[in-house]
Amino acid sequence: MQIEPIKQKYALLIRDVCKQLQAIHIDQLERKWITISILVIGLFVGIIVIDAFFHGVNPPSKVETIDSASLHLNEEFAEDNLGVQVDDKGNIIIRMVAGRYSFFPKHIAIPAETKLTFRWVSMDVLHGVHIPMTNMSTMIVPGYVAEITTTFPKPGEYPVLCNEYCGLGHNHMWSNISVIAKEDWNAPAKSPVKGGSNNE
Amino acid sequence: MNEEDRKRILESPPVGAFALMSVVIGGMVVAWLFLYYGVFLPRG
Amino acid sequence: MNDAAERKLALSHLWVAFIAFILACFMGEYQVLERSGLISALDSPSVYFASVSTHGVLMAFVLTFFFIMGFGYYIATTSLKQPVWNKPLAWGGFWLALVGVVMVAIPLLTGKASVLYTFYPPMVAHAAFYIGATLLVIGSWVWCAIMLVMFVQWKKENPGKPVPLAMFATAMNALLWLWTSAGVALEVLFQLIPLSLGWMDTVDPGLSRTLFAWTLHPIVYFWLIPAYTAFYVFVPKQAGGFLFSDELARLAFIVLAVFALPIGFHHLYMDPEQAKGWKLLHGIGTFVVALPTLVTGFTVIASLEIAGRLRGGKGLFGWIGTLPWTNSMVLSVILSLLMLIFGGFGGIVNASYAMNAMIHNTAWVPGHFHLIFAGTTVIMYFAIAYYLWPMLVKKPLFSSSMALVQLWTWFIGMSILTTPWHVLGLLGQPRRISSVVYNNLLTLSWKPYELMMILGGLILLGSACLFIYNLAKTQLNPASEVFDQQIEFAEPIHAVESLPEWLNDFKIWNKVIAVLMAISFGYPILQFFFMNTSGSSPWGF
Repeated sequence: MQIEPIKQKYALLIRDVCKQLQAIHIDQLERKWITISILVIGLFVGIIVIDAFFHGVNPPSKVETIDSASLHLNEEFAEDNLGVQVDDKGNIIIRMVAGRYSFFPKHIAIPAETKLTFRWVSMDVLHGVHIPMTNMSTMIVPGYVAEITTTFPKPGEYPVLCNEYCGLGHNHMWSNISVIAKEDWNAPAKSPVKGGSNNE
Repeated sequence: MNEEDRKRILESPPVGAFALMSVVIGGMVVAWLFLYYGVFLPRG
Repeated sequence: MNDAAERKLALSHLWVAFIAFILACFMGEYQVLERSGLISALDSPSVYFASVSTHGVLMAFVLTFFFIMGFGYYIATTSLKQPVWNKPLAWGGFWLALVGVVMVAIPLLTGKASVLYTFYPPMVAHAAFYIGATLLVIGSWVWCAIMLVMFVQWKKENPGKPVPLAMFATAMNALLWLWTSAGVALEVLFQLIPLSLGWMDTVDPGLSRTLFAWTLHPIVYFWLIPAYTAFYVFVPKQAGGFLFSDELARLAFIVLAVFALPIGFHHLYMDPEQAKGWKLLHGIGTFVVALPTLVTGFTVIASLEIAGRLRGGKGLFGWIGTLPWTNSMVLSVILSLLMLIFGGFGGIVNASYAMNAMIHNTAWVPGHFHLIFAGTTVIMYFAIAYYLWPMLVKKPLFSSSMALVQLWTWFIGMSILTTPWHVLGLLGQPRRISSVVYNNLLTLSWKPYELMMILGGLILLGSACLFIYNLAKTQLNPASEVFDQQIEFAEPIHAVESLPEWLNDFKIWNKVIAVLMAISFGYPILQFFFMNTSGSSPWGF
């Protein structure tokens, strides 16, 4: 297939379109408005992209699968491995299971102002989890592990709420989390941490 | 309204629309920056 | 041209739309009352979630599809000045869609399809729900085919001439809907129907959410484009002026349709089954689609300014006062644009990638889409109805002052309903709950907003009743004298003699859409077939 004539055809096409665009009468104020709009949109996109690439401001996005129907057979999400754990490198990982109608373990305690990694799975249907007034927000899709890294700036007692319709008991689906001042929090007793995230 | 005035109106740039839209978009920029830097990022 | 058949076609569609609408309005007020906990006797999750599911389906799929189809048929026949092509087929599509509505209504109203209007698996409804939804969508495809055939035929018979703007927008919307609905069609046909009938044991909910997200964003533009069409082809004339720019109107519709499609992942920002690179790409596309709305705002307000100045308005803003505020189309566009400012801003916040975590699945989300859809878009549906009804039934509107009161109360009610709703979201209230039972002090801060919303809903319900009453009285009134009002399309200030092909046709834009869709959804969908995924079995609710 010959490239040159195709390249020429497209170059001519683009030149034609530009000429036609210029021939359309656009009021000079509307032209200014279009420029302003593009600049404002560019500002928002710019801030978002820079924060995404250079400051790690991203939504939860690790694509990792799991068999939600057999969690009890899964080493990482076995009941005695759930909740708050500290791994050998000092990273705090919290493993939670969502299922109709609560989050398990139903009460956990974590330190404020510290980087935390949550790993959520569903044992049944679609759930969403949000800790109000924080950025701990993620969907929990059966078949996938939802991993999210975040920090809680303010100590306090927070509810952990399900925010995706998961059945007639959805209103009652919630648990508790205590955010404790960094200096007052004690890591749970060390036990061999099984499975899961390779923290970046 | 005579023909001359009519023509002038139809040919003149829409300064009122431009002013209104500029205020609106300015407000949106301020509100977005407030939400992003004042609410979202401080929540961790 | 004797358009009795076209008028009957349009009216049939519009009545189905508005009957669905008024029924759903009653459900809406019940819902806001139940949720507040004010009347404990009402407390019932099973009734609540059946109501929300029905309300959502009626408003998002029945009101909209039937309104858009009825409006489209009438625009096609009046702007192209020819009969609707293949009326038996058009009626076939109408009946198919209506059968579909009945088929979804029965399980919905009997509590067998309380899966909400988004029906995410692995919760499943009765199979009739999905089959009925399929028939409704196929009925809408019949409309799309007729719109596109009429478009192509007219172009053949009028080579080189600009397609009338109203039909250009309508045909663009038909093309958009065909591309849009493919996502949910794939999900329903290959996952949900087989799952609900027991032909398949499991589905991957990640794939379902991705396919639904394909549809979920552009569908709102399918709903919105008729409102923008009225902005461009009716408003300037009704205000006593001219359309500021015909070419930019076409460009706005094109950019809107092209960029509405490859951006669905802003509904999946918090989902684990898609990676952040794709989410960022869709996010950038979402910001691009804000541009044609910003341009539309300018073009429409500029047209209003010209009209106001022609009516004697002076100074920077004097033209606002001289506009005919008692013309229902003009009043509607003013109120619609006011709601578009705040609804559009909310949309920009939702689109802002990681910031979405602040409001995802909180009460902010229904606050947002009620403001932008039930507000900005539906108020223009009202305006179009008030404008067309006299022409469709050949009788004057029963009461134009009632129409003005109705439009004002819709705007006021919507403001009172949605403002607290947004605040509740920022205060962390989840969406899709039927009552507040969390044993936490935070919920106390929610109470006053919930109570305000009851008032907003009540005003809206009254407004909706006025709307239906006005149209019904118009149609049922005895015809006293000959009434022959003709539809009037706005003229541009600068007449358009000829247009470049890319502003008068869709062939190239179809290709652009295909490329963008392949880039935005190709790998994200294909990945499911190469990943080691475990499916989910069906669950009840």
